[in-house]
Amino acid sequence: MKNTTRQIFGLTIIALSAIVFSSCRKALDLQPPFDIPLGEAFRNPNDIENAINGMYQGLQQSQAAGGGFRIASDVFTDQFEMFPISFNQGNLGPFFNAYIRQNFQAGDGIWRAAYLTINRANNVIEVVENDTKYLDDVSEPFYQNNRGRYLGEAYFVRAYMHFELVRLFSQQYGINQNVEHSGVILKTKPSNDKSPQKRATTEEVYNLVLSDLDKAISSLPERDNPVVHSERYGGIKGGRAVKDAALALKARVLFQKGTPEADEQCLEAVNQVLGSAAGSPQKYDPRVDQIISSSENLFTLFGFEAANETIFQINNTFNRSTNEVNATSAGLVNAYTLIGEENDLGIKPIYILSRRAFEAAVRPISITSDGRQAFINRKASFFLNKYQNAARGSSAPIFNVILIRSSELLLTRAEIFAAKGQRTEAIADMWVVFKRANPGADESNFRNNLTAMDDLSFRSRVSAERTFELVGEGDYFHYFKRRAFRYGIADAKFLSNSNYRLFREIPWNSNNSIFQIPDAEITANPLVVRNP
Amino acid sequence: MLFGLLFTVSAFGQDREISGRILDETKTPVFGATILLKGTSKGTTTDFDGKFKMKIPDNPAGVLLIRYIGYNPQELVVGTKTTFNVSLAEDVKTTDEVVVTGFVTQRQIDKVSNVSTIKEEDIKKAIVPSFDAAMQGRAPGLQVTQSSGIAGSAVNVRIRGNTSISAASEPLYVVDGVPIVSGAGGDGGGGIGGLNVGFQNNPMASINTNDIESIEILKDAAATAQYGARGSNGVILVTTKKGKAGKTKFTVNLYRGMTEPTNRLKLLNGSQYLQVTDSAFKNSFRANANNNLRDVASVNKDLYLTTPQLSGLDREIAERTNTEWMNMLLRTARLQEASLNASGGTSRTQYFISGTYRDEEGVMIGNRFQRYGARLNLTNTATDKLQVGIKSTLGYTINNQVPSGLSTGLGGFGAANLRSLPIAPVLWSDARQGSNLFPFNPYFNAYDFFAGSNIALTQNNDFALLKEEIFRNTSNIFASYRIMPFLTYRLELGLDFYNQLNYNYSSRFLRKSQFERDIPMSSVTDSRVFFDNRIISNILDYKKLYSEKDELTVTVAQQYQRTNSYNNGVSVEGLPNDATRSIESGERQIGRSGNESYFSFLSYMAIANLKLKDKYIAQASLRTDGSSRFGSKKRFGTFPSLGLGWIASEESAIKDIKEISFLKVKGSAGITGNAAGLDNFQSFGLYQTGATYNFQPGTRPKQIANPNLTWEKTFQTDISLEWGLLKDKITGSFGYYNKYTYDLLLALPLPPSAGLENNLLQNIGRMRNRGFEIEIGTKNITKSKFTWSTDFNITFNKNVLLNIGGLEFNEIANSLDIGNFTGQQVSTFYLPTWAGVDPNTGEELIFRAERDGAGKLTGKLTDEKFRPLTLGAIDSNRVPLFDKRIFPKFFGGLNNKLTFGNFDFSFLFTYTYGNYVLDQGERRQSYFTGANNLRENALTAWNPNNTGSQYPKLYYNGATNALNLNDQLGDPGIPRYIIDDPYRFRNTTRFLHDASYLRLRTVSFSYTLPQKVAQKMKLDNVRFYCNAQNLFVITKFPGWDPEVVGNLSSNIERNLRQGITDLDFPQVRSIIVGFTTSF
Repeated sequence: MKNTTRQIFGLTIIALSAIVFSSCRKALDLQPPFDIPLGEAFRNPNDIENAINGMYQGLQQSQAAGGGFRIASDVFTDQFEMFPISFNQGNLGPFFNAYIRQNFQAGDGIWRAAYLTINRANNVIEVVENDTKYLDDVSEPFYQNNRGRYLGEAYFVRAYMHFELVRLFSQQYGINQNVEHSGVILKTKPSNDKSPQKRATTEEVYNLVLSDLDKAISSLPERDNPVVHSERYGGIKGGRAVKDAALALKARVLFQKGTPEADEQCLEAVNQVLGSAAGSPQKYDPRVDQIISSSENLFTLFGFEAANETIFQINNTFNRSTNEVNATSAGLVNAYTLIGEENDLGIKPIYILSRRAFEAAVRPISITSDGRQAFINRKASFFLNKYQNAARGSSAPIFNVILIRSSELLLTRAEIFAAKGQRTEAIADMWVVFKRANPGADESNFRNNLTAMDDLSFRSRVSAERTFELVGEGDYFHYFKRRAFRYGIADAKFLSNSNYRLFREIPWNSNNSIFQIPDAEITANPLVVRNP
Repeated sequence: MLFGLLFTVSAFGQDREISGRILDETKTPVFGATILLKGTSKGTTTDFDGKFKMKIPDNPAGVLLIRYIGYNPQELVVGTKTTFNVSLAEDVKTTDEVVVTGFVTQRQIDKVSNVSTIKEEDIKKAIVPSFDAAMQGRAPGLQVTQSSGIAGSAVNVRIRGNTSISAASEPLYVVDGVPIVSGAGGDGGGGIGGLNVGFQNNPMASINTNDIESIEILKDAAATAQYGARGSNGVILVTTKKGKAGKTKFTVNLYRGMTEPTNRLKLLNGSQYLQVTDSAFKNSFRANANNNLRDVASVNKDLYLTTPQLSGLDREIAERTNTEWMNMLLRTARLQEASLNASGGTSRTQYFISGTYRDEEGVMIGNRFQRYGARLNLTNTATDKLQVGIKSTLGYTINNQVPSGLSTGLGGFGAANLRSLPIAPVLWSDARQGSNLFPFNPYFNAYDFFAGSNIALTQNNDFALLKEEIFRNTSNIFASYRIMPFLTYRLELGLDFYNQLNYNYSSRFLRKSQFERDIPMSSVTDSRVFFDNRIISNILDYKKLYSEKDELTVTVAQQYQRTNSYNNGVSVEGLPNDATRSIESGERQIGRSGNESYFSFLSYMAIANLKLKDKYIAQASLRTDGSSRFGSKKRFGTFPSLGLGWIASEESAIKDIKEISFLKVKGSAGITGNAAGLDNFQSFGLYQTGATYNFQPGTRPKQIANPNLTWEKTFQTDISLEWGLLKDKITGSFGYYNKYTYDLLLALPLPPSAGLENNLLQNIGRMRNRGFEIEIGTKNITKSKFTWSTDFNITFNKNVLLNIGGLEFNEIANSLDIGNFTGQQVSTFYLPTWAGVDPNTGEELIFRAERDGAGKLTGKLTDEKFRPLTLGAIDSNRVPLFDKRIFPKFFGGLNNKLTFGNFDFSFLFTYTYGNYVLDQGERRQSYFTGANNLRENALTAWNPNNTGSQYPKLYYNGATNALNLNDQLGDPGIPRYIIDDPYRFRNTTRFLHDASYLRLRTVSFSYTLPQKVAQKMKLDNVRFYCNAQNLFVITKFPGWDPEVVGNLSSNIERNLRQGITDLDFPQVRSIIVGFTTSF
C-alpha cells in the first residue's frame, strides 16, 4: 500500500515536471515590446506613412539638412571669423585650417546622416514598388491615392542626400567626373547585410540624382493637391515634398552641374516652378510675405506655417499638446552659436557671418542699408539672426527650416541670364529679391545702376545679391566651386580694418576642397577609395 | 535509470526494525542525515522531522554510522535497542565545513570544484554598504575593485579575469537560489537607470549585509557549469542565515562612526593661480623679449586681457579671493547602523527575523545613504515528508546623491575640482538668498560661468535634489517533499522585485530653460525602473550511501527564469516657485522616456557526485540552457563538466606521514557560457520607433537580424592541490586554471554607408585567461589565551586576446587610448610616449613612432623627440604599451587574526601589483584653460629661469604662440595661423602611472565581556568592537586614488576602460565603534 502511494506520488511529480519542462520552450520566444521586428514593419499603408515620417526625420537631423549640410558649406568658405585664442581642433577646426584631409567629426556626421536617410528612403521604395509582397491589402483607397506620392517623396529624399554627398565629397562636376571612384557610394537598395559597395563616378551620381528627381517629379502631387494638406497632417504646409520641390531641387542640381546644357535644363526647371516670365514668380512670389523689411523678425518665415516663397521645408516636431520640444533645428541654432564646453572640440565661440565679415565680403558693392543686414547682425550671444525665432526669444530654436525657396531659384535664373548676357531678365529676377529687403527702393534706379555696369561688375553684383540673400543657408561652398572662385578664411585680424583680404586662399578645384571619406567607412568597407 | 535505482532500494530481507530521531545541539531536527549499518549497504536517511526507520539484521554487534555534512559522524552499537535518539555535534574542522556549490552541498573536503567561501565574521568587518565590496582580498581569483567613496556606488568584480568585451564580465549573483538583478539590463553589472550623476549606482546595496551567513565564490567549471549559459564569469552565491530550534535568541548590533576622504588633490590656491595665469598669458602672447604682445592678440586684447577670463570677475576681486573649494564641499561624515535579529523556533518551525537601519553620510556634503532592511527566513516541517519555507527580504534604500562627475550641465564633484577656481568667491550666503544670485550677481554667475562646477549649489537640497529610492524584495519560497528515504523533490519559487525611483529637482539658479535658453527655469525629473524577476525550479535530489565510504548523489533539475523590466520617466520645467516640485506643476514637458523589455532562460540539468572509498571523488554535470536573448537557430546550448578528486591523505602510504594531515588533488574541466549584459533583442532584425516628424509618428530601421547570435563560451580547466600540514597548522591550496573563451561577442562595425544605426553583434573572437591561485593559512600560535593566524592569498592572472575576428585593434576599443591587439592582453594602452620637456623652449615632446617602408606604424618608437602641432600628429605617433598593463600581474589579500584572551584583533591588507592607471584628470588639471584649476606642481612649470623643469611651459588656453610655423603634416603651402596646443586634448604617457598599491583595508579590534559578567547582566554574549577601513595606502600613484571604478555604464567600457580615471571620487576612510550582544 505504502509503496503504491509512493509510486503514485512519484509518478505524479514526474508527470507534472514533464508538463512544466515541455511547455516552457515557447516561453523563450519573446518578442521585442518596443521595436518592430522586420517582418512586421510593413503590413498596412499606415506603416509606410510612418516610414515616410522616419525618412523625413532622417533628412531633418542636425548633421543633415537640419544643420550639417549648410554649416559645412558656410564654415568652409569665408564666412566666419574665429579668434585664435578660442581655436580648438576637432569638430570645425579642420575647416578653419582648410585641412580636411583627415577624418573629422563634421564630415563623418554628414556622411552617416545622409546614408542613414538614404537607407530609410530605399526601404520605402522597396516596399512600395513591391507592395503586393509586403502589404496585406494594396487596394485600400487611401493607399492607392498616396502610392505615387510615397514613391515620389522617397526618390526626392534619396536624390537630395546623394546630391549633398556628391557636392561635398567629390570634386565639382567637370573635374574627373568619369574617373572611377570619383563620386560617392550609390545606394539604391535597402541594407540587409553588411556587403560593402564601392564609390560610383561623379557622373553616375549626377545621373542617378537626376533620374530619381524625374521619377519624383512624375509621381509627386502638385502643391495644391488636397492630399498634401489633408487634415491628417494637421494642415501643416510644406514639410513634405511636392512636385515643385522636386523641380526646384532638379534646378539646383543642374545649376551646380554647371555645364551649358545643364544651365538650359536648369532654366527650364526654374520656369516650371516660377513661370517663365522673368521678374514675376507666380506661385511662390516672396514679396507676398513682405516681412524681410522689418529686419529683426525676418525669419518669422521659419514659423509654424510655410511662407509663400517656401517650396520645401522641414518641419520641426513641436508637440503642441505637451509643449514638448523635439526641435532638431535646435541643432542648427546650436551649431551657429556653439558655446563650447571644455571637452567638446568645437570652435568657441564662433562668430559666424559677422557683420564685419559680411561687409568685407560684399564691400565691392555699395549697399548702404539693406533689410538683410539684420540676418548677420552679431548679437551679444553670437547668433546668426537668421535662425532666431523672433516670437520665442533670441535663443529659442526655430521651428522649421526652409530648404528650398523661390528667392534661390530667382537668383539662380538671374545668374544664368547674366552669364548668357540677358541682363534685362537677370535684373528683373534680382529686383524681386532686392525689393523685398529694400521696400523703399526705386526700381528704375536699381535697373539703371545695374545696366550701367560692365559685365564683370554686373556678374559680381549678381553674386553679391545671392551671397546676401542666402547667407547661412549652405550655398557658398558649392556656389564658389561652381563659379570656380578662390575662397578662403576670413581672418579676425583683418576684419576691423579696411584692408580686408582672405587670409588663406584655396583654389576651388584643390584637393583640399573636397571632404575626405570618413575613416569609419574606409575601415569597414574595403572597396571604398580615399579622395586624393 | 534514476528511477530504476529508486524503486529497488528497499528490497532486502530484514529481521529487526529500528527507528530514531536525529537532532543537532540546538534540538533542531536534522534532515537528510544518513544512517548506515556498517559493513553493509543497508541504510536510510532522516525525514524532515529528523526521524528515521529501517530494518536491519538482528545482530547486536552491528554498528550504525550516522553522518550528516557539517557534523561529526557518530557510530552507535546497535545492541538490543530499537530506538535511537542521537544528538549530532557540529564539526569545527575547516575541511569538514559545508560548502554550497550551487545545487550541491558538500563538505569542504569532498568538493572537487574550486569554490572559495567568505564567512560572516569577515563580511562584517568591512564597513561597506554592500556585500560585494566586503569580498575584497578574501579569496584568491577574485578581484574586487572598491567603489569610490560615494555612498551607494558600484564596485567592479572579476573572477579570474575579464572574460568578455561586448558582454558583461561581472559574475552571476545568486541570493538564496535566486539569480538577482545585478546590473543595468537585469544582469551583468553597471548601474541601473536613473540620472547619471557621475557614478554608477549599485543595485546590490539594497541587500542587507548583516543577514548574510556566507558567500561562496564559484570559480571553476565543475562549479560554474551548474549555471550553464551564465557561468562563464563565475558565480557568487549568497546564503542568508536561518533559524535554529530553541528559545528565541535576540542579537543586537549597533555601531557609529565617521568617514572622511582618504586623499585630497593639491590644487593651486588663489595667488598661485594668478601667478600661473600671468605666466601662461605671457607665454602665449609675448612676441619678444620686450614682452610686447603680438598684434594678433592685441586686436582683441579687450577679450584676452580680462584676466582671469571670467566675466564679471575682475582682477581686483580675484586678487583678494582665495576660496578653498574642497573645504566647502567635503566633510567628515557620520555613519551609523543598528540591527536586531531574532532566531529560534521549535523542532517543527524555525525562523530568523531581522531588521536593520543604516545611515551613512557621504563625505560630499549633501550625500546620504540610508537603508532599511527586514528579513524573514522561515522553515516549517508540515509532515515528516513535507517541508515548506520562505527566505524573504525587504530592502528600502534612500540615497540622496550629489553629482560627482564632470558633467557641466548639472555639475559634479569632478567638475568642481576642475573648474572651481580659487579666485572665485562662493558667495554662499547670497546663493541661499537666491535673489542676489540670479539674475547675475555682480561677482558670480552660478550658472553661466561655472556651468555646473559650483557644486556648493548642487549639494544644497534647496537648489538641487537628486534622490534615489530603491525598494527591493527578494524571496525564495520552497517546498520539499521526501518521496522516499533517498529521494527528495524540491520546488523553489524565486522572486526578485526591484523598484527604483529617481527624483531630480534643479532650481532655476542652476539651469535655464531648455527651450528658451535665456530664461532661468527650474525642472523636475521623475524616472522609475522596475524589474520583475521570477524563477521556478524543480529539483530532484537522490542521495545514497552505498557503504561506509561509497556515496552517490544525483540532482536533476529544471529551471525557468523570466525577467521583465519596465522604465519610464518624465521631465518638466518651469515650476511656478521653488516650493512646488511636482511633475504636474511644471509649465511644460521637456522629456519623457518609457520602455519595457524582457528575457527568459530555460534550463535542464543533471549533476552526479560519486565518492568511492572516501578518497576518490567524481562529479559530473550536464546542463542545457536556452535563452530568449539569442538567435532562433542558436538558442540552446549544452554545458558539460567533469571534476575528479583524490584525497591522497586517505591513502595509507600518506596517512603514515605524520606531517601531512590532509592532501587532496583535484581537477575539473567543462564548458560554460556568458549571456550577461546583452541587449535582449540583439538577434532580431528591427525597425524602431521614435523618428517623429510633422506631428506624426515615424519609424526607421534599427538593426539587421543575426539568427546565429549565441552566447560566449568558455572552456575551463582547473587543477589544484590542497594540503594541511602539521595537524592543519599550515593549510593551503595551489591551483592552476585555464579559461579559454570562444565565440566572443564582438560588434562588427558596419560601413556607415549601410545606413544602419546599430552595429552587427557577432560571435567572432577568442580570449584566454590563465593563472595561478595560491592560498596559505597558518596557525602561528595556538595557545589557549593567545592565538595568531594568518591567511594569505595571491592570484596571478594573464589575459590574452587570441582573436578579434579580423577587426582592427582600435575598432572595439571605445577610446583612443586603448587598443586590442591579438596575442596581447585585452585592453592595451595605446598612447603617445612622452619624452619630457625641451629645456630650451619648455615645450613638451613626444617620441616619434617608427614606420616601415610602406609608411605603416610598426608599433615601436624611434629615438626622435618632437613637438606635435596637431591632434593628428599626436595620434599618428601612438604605440601600444604591452608592458604597462591595465590589469595587475598579481593581486590578493593578507589577513591576520590575533586573540588575547577576550581581545580579538585582525587586519586585512589588500594589494595589486603591476597595473597602470591613466590619470585623465591629471591631464585636465595640467593645461591652463582659464576655466580650470591646476594641480600644485604647475608652480614648477618651465620658465626661462627654470629650464630643467619636467613640467612643460604653460600656455593660456592652448594658444601656443606658434605663429606661422611650417606645416608639419607634410602639406607645404598651407601656412598655419596659430596652433592650439593639441596636448591638452590628448593623453600621453605623462599621465600614465604605476598604480600598484598595498592598502590596509580593514582593521578590526574587539573585546568580548567574560561570560560570567555577561550572564550577570542576563546577556549571552557582549562584544565591543572598533573597525577601521582604508587606514592607509602605500602606492607610487601620484593621483587621487590608485584604485578606481570609473563612471562606466556600458559593458565595453567596464571591460576595457578600467585603467582610466577621470577625476573619479576617491575612497573614503571609515572608523566605527560598536557593540553586539545577544540574549
